[in-house]
Amino acid sequence: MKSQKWTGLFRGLAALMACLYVVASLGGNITESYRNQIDGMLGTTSYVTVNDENAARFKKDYATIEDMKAAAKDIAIREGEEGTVIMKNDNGALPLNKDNELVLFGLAAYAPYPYTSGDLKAGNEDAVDLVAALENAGLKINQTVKDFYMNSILNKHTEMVPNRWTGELQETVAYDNIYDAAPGDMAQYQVVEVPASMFEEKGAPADWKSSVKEGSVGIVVFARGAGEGNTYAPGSALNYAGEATGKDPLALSDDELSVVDVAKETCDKVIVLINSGNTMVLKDIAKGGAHEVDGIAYIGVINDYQLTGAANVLTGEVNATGALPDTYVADNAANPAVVNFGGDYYADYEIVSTEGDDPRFPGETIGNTKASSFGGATTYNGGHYIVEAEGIYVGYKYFETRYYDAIMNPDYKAASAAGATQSEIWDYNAEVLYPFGHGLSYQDYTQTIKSLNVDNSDNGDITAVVEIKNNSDKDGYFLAQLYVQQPYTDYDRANLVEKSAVMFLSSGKTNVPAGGTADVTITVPTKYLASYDYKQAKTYILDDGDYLFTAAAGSHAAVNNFLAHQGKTVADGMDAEATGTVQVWNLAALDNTTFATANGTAITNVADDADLNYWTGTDTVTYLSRQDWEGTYPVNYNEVEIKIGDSPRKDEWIAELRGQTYTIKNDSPAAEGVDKGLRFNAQSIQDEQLADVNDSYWEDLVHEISIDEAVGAVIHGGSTSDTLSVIENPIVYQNEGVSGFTSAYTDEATGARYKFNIHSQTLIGSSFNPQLAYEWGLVEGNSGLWLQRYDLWGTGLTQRRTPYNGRNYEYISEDPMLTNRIGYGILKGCVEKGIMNGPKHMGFNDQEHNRGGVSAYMTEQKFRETDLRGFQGGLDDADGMAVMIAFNRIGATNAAQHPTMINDIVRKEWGYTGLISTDMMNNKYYFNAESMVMAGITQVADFAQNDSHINQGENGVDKTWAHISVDTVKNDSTLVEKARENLKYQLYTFARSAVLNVTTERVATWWDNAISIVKTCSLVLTCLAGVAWIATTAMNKKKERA
Amino acid sequence: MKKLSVGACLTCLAAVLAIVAFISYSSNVGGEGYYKDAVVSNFPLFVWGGVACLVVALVLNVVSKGKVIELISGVLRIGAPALLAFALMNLIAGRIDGLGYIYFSNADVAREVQTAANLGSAQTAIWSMALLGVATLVAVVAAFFSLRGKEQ
Repeated sequence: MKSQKWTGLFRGLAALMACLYVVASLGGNITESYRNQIDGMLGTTSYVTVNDENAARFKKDYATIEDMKAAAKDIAIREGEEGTVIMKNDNGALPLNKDNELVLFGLAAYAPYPYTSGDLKAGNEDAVDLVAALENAGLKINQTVKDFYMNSILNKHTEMVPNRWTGELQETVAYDNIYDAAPGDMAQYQVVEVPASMFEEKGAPADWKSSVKEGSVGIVVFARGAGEGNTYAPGSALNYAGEATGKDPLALSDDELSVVDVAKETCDKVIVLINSGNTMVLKDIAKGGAHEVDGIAYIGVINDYQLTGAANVLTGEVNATGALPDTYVADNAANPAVVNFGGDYYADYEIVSTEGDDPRFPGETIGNTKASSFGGATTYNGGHYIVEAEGIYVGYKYFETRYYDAIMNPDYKAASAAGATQSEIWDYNAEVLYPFGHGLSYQDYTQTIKSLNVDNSDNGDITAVVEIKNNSDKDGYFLAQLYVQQPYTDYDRANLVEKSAVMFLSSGKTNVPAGGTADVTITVPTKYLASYDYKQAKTYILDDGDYLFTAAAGSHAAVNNFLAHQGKTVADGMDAEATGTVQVWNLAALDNTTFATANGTAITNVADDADLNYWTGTDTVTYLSRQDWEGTYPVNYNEVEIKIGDSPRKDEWIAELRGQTYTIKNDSPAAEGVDKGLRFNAQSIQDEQLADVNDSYWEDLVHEISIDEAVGAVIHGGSTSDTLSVIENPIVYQNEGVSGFTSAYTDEATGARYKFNIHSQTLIGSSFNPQLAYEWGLVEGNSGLWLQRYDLWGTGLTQRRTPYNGRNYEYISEDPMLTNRIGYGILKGCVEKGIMNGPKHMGFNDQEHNRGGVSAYMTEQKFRETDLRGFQGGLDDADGMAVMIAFNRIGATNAAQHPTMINDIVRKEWGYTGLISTDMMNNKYYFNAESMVMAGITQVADFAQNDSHINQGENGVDKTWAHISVDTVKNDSTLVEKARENLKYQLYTFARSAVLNVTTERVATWWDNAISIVKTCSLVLTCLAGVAWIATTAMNKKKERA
Repeated sequence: MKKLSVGACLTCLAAVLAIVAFISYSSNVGGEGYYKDAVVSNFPLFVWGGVACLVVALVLNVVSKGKVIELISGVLRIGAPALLAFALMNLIAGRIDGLGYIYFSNADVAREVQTAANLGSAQTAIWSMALLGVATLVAVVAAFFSLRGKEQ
């Protein structure tokens, strides 16, 4: 009996240990896939870097982490100083007088947006909020109002909220009243601002007004949130009580205006601070508004330290040099782009899913309805579309050109009713409150182009030396902005080549002594002077005629300078006299050759099919042309019946909307990879390999990669690059985000953690300072070297087409060239430090609403001169090393499958050799694997692990796309070779970057060791218990027989 | 009449729990939501392998006696929980990405992804794992006990 017990014990132990072995073995594989996240959670390090600092190609600029932190903090403060924009300053409201007490109103005054830390905000311990920033600047703040706001209205507290997953209660920051930080996906947006009438009800003392001293200045702060997957819906505002008001959510609500009113009632002067990345409607508080205030300042979307800089501007510690990166209008509906916004269905969108079987998904019913922003539905999501009928006329390019034409070209019917929102006849001064580039300086100054040189060779530059004269009696810092007017010729009118009456080129800043002068040299590639002619020349052209250059404090001042130069005055309708002079550069004859090639590639139309008219076969869409403002002003093309089934290209259109941009061939066997002994390491990759992606080493290297891994590594790019089994390339982690690396640096000496995502995209935009962007790029790059992380989605360069995009806070401006120059600066700095900083989301992520499928139709001129131009500075001019493609479609083609945008423009015309990633791959019916490979994507951003294979699904097919397998692709040599080419660019870029600066070695963490010990012990104990069980079983039988 | 032993009861229970876990998994794959059609490779093989081991061990115990039979039965009872553990870990590996996406995305993403269908799908996946985990544990505990009951 006793021995039988031993039998059971050993059998049970064997079973237990066998289970443990299985769990430890497979669990080890799972933890391997999530090593990055586990390290982050447990504070462990799985990879150590062995490097010789002296031999490194990329060196840190800071000797200690304290120096690194100080540099990051300094940049952030300067962003606040240079990005804060004084929009309105009457009655001497600014700079603030330290003798006068401040009274802070508005929820955002005490909890500026964003009030939580995360991707957007670092949340370091020494972060400075507005109250602290103003107090640190020596200003006194009314305690009574501060107390009732902070203690009663906001009442910051923590709440124990159950974790959705574990049910465990977690401490979360919360407020009793706080503005909505995320507008949702075209949902109703509640403007949460406690109206002044409810102050007492919410805890303010009845006599709080008596606490406000004479001479006090009211500071009222209003915020608007934003976020991924968020898009504001026009007319969707709810008030504090939750009632629909029908107002624009970006306009000030009646509740907010009541706070302005009480501030005006109790304070001598009132200044409103705008804390938003989305352009707000400020008509009510602007000049002539019913609630006009003394001052308005833009502070963007702040981060840890920017408010220190903003306070330095508000107190006049530094001169105000920020300028508006967007046009502020009286009604957002005045933007012609808003007419076609949001999108809707084709009249017969179902035809995409009903017109025959899809051989890639046999037997599956696939819809064509829209999916959520994060996918998850069985749909091609090819039913929704918008028509970007405004063409190049976004923001100031529309308003200023129409203003100019109203005076200069009456035949163009600028002064017509079309597009007017404030009066019967369109009137610039009624529509526009604050123009692009507007920003008041405390110190009077003038800016004049002292010399101009235009080198119109293909790689030439425009170089303008702008002299700044400081007319004040104080040393100061000043902004110079360079604008140009290109000739708008008969040729342009005949061929619909659109020209803005004014185009921003670039800007710069300098210190100027009191009463003195200083020069700012502004350089910008001449190629940006050319316009794209998609009708006649089908390439870039430089028109004959006068090119007018001016330095001016904003786009509107620039236009007035041009008008004055052309003989116009206030008597002709100008709203102000010129403030500066104009320099002229003349081109005698139309040039359609110099910029018709780039990097040896002939430039011609590659996106005819982005035009809806291409598909309908008729002139369904009339794109906005300045020669007839009235007749071409956009209509909403979602209200025009568009039928796919009526198209002469019906089958082609349906195939494209199904994502069948490329179809796998079966007639050309691909060569299997052959190991020739080449490896990805520092010994093999020397200067000559680094200098040329076409060096034979790279071709030979990628031809070692098997068919399975070549295709698999591209279509399962994941968030970590895969290790390819033959070539032994290193793992490269991708990192977020647009404010800098979100990973924390832990100081080994002190244990202190610090985060370097302290940057503000909005304020770098309003700084108008490419040099500051470059310096931030260097700091961002240095922080990568400190963190030993080299691949980052670290900026956003999509054009802000409308004010409603929830990602606008990640982007720079409505203007492609301001975006271009800022992007150039940031990426140049990162490249110099070996950091692959990939800007988001190239290819018209103009709205988050249905971003995973909406078709954006446009002309090729818009295609090339707007969103793509914003990215060109960083990817082409700065030789950037990474980019993320947008979710949406360009025309009917998924941007990530757009072969000509990526292969022809980005790779060939721009000579770009870096990584090209998709955005989150969340819908296998929308994202088509083979088409992405053929488009040149180097890594599809799925949620894959280290699994660069196409055989991990049932029956050896791909786990996501069942029509993909080694068997189905091995006879398409074009596809396989394209996958290898894409990997060539990827590996080349890793080598160019700081990834190869160092040797990365895996080390065993404590949890690795624990898993190994459990594995080994459980295996040994399984065997021992098993042997013991067999032995005792045998002994039992002997005893039984005995 | 033989009274069922503790070992036999627990073995039966483990088999039933594993079958319920499989049904839960099947409804997860077949139902609406995030994991629709998201089959886990070899999951059925391991679950049914584990269940088969348990059942065969029980049957052998009833129909036959002897040293070899006892050894075969024992091997099956040791192997069964290991197979169930195999299935469990495969299921976790196949579901963990999605669970992280659904439950731990930032607020913006969570707002969109946490649909009723997706949350229901995630909960079913969690139930499947939990049931399989318990089945594995019960099978381990059962291995400590004899399948033979006392004669009454």
